[in-house]
Amino acid sequence: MSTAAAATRFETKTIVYNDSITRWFTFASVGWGIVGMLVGAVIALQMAFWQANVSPYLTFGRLRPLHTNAVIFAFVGNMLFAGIYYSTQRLVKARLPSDLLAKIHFWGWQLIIVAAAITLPLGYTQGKEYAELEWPIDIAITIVWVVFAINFFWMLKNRTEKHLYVAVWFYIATIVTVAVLHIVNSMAVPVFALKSYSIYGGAKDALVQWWYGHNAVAFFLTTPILGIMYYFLPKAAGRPVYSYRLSIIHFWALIFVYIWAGPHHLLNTALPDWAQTLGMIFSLMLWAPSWGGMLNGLLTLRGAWDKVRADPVLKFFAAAVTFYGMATFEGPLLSIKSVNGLAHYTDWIVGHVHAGALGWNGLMAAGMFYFLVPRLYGTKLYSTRLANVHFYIGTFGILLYVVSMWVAGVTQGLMWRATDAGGGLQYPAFVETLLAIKPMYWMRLIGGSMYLIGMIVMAYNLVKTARAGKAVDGEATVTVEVNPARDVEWTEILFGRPVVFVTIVAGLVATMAVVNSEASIFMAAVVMVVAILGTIALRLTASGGERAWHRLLEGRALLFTVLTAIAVLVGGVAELVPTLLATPPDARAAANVQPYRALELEGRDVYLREGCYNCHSQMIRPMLFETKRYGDPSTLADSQYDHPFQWGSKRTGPDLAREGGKYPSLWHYRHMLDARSVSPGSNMPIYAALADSRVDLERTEAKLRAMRSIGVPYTPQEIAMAANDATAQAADIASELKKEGAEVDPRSDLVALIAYLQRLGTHAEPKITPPAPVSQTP
Amino acid sequence: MYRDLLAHSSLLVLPLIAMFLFIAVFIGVVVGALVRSRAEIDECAALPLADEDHHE
Repeated sequence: MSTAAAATRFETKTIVYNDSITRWFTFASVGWGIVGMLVGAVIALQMAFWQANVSPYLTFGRLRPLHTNAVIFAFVGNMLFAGIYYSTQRLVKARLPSDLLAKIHFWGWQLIIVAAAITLPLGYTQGKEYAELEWPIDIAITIVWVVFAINFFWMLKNRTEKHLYVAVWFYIATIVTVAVLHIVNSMAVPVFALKSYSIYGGAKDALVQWWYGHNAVAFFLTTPILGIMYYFLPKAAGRPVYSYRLSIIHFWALIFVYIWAGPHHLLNTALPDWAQTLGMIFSLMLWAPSWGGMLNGLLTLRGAWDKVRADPVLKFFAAAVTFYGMATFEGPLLSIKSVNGLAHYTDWIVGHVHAGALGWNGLMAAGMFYFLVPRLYGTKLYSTRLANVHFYIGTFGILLYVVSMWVAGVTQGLMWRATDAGGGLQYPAFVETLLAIKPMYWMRLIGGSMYLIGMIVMAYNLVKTARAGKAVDGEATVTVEVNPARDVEWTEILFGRPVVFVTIVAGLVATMAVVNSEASIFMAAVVMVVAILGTIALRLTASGGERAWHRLLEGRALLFTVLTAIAVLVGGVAELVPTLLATPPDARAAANVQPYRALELEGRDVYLREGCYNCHSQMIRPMLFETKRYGDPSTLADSQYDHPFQWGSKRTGPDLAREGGKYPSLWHYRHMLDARSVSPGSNMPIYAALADSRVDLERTEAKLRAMRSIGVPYTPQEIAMAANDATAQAADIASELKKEGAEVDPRSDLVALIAYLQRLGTHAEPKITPPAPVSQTP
Repeated sequence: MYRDLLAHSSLLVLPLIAMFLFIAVFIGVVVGALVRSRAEIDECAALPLADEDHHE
């Protein structure tokens, strides 16, 4: 409704917000959060007590992706949608334009989660961490995300508040970047309805995957939550953010820097050094904006600490921001190559991730829910005491979890590298290092379970609160201009003085760096000083009534989105393109590396299906203790035909990059039937069911054809004869096992898996062409 | 060090250019934020506090 408030230029409008969608996403988040964390507790139990792997469909390798997907995309995903819809409507003073799109968004997202919950335990996976879902689900995610984006940007278009608050910038960055990340990383060639292969292979796949994986943390688990922090924390504290200036710097620095840091997940691997160095440097640079944001959040509470004592909402926010500070201190620390050498593949990383997910995301979610639900139902929180109980057991649970993983991780790292007086490995049997940290696995289970109990307490409290009240939608009365004056042209902003100035400076410095290598560093410093003085001069010479360039930008949603996309894409393009377009020199030299034989490829698919990468890496780092334990360092050539790559990120079991030929096939057979029979103390699930399941050789030809389409050099003859070759290789392995006294069906998944494991790292060494002899002719 | 970065591919100049672009933008943003007027900043910062909801 609207009434004329001023005859010519202004009118008042009452806006009724769509808060139903916030209610739905809120309770979906709480429900899925409990499910995801329950699965987390189950897999924590499986790590400590292997007998908890009760079914072939519910083994650790299949459930861990379910846990990560449920917590990231179901719990945090639903939470961030709730927060974004609630806060953006109020910040831009506009109702969500389409209730239908909002419903499609909600139900579409829940269907995707259900699809994940069904397909992952059934073993349908792309084998890429945090991107396991198969291609039809990936397409559904894209569609639902686009629906969300349309509704969001449509709302911005309809806004009655001209200025876009900093929280909305973070939401814009989230929507744009997640779309780019998801589409680029999910590029795959479908083979069947629920089977596909990544179009990237080996190191290229590794770089793209961790560019995605890291930035899923950045732009799905961090930037939207920061936006939520910038809205809900001041709102709950009843005071503006500590420094709006700092929030501007925080935003641009974070989105520009974050996108580069992905390769810190691949330090000391076969990834080219330049990419590793970039990843490390930009990770270290992240310290500044992350801590800037963290301090901005905490300092917003200055003078309001008495409220923090009494209000559970602020208590959760304060603890969450503190955990954000801890996690973002630890992240760059772990990105230093030498620290990473100790920590990578250990449980330290698991602890780091959970400090972020449980501490930062989880506590922010709880604070937001305790703030929202009473308002969404027009009542008071059912029990402040229960909220306090949740806070204390949740926080203690996280600390128990994180500390146990720190201890486990450092112990693992030190034991893996320990050498005796003779220079040999002090703990040559990998399982020794696992047994040493078993108590920490139990401690983790206790900590994680406490956090889960806290979530259940919250769910009870929120449901009781909702039942005590009645669903109400918020409203606001705004005064808007009927015929607003002509706005500043977008060209005036895009080609404004600061942009032109920055472009000239950056162009000059970059040109100098390329053309004059010796002088560039010195000259860069000089030009930067000139740039700073120039920017100040530009500002000082601006006329008094002139609004700052950035203030103008904050009023232009489309332009802001475009510049945000550019800031993000610059990093992505500059980092990915050189690797994606380049052919690694040693891969060219290793032209004699052959693709997997048909049965080996089938065995590899079994490896992916069972989620073996969740516990085993395939990347031997060039460190003495690694090469002593596993063999020669991995090369780019080793995995060049691996679609997807399987370098892994955690070692609960040993690295398998050069597993082929290390043990006889009988050892693998017995290991799969019960790992304890050959490796006492192992916590690996029993895979006896693989002896009963069959490889479908009718599909093998199509798989080889798909691989050929993405660059794996199978010949037409190899493709045509795929089933025959697989049958012949399987018969050889089964025959070998029979001689050792083990009867196994040659068509079984187990034989295919053994074929794959026996192939790993066994290809012929690269042929190094000796340099041409130097002519001795005088 | 950047000689090593550029050793294998001319495309590797891209990260270098992007880094300088970042530094230039960063300086621009920092200075721009610092010299903005207090009144303007306070107005922006107060936005979340301005919305008063009326529940029915």
